[in-house]
Amino acid sequence: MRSYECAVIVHPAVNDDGLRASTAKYVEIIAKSGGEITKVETWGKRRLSYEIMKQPEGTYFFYRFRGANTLIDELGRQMRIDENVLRHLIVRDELAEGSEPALEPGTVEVTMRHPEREREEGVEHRGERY
Amino acid sequence: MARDTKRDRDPKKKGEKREKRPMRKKKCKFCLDRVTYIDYKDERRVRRFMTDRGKITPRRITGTCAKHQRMLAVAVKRARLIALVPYVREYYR
Repeated sequence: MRSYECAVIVHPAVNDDGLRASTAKYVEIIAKSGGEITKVETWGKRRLSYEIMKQPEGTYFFYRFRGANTLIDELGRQMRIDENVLRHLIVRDELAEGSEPALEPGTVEVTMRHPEREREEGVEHRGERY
Repeated sequence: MARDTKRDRDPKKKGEKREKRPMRKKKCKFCLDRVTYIDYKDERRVRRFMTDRGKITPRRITGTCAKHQRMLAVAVKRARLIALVPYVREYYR
């Protein structure tokens, strides 16, 4: 078991219900393949730096989980099939300690974060001073 | 040799090497903060080490050490993939 982080950009036309269905789907895929979810996060709709599939914006999601390497293949495969996923990126989670409590698949809550707003309010990242 | 005319005008410097300017050695900004991992999601920080064209700024400009430059390059490439920062930005002509 290794810790991973998966970033997903969902199509901007997907409404709130669709987004909830989408996260539920991937949470289930992770859980079914023997993974343990530790955190699901969203940044909401954001402007993309360049257009992906003709879309100027997208909704960002970040899944942090533990699992086997076969889970990564399966998750990536499902995301490539999903037309509502503009882009996904699965990387090893270097910041995870591997001891974060696993969440129940049915009751996973999505936390909303605004990196820009947090910075304005003074929640500084470590070492952010140049 | 148009380039040498300026040096030739100064008799003292004739034949000498060009005067060395005392350069303050730049410190790696990541080392100063004891950074062990550069997060690709930290868009502001990643952008600081890119040109406005979207290129990664070389070490000789920023003073980043080799270890952190490697980490930075990975972070920039990941951030590009999920469209947090551009691959290229064209200037309008």
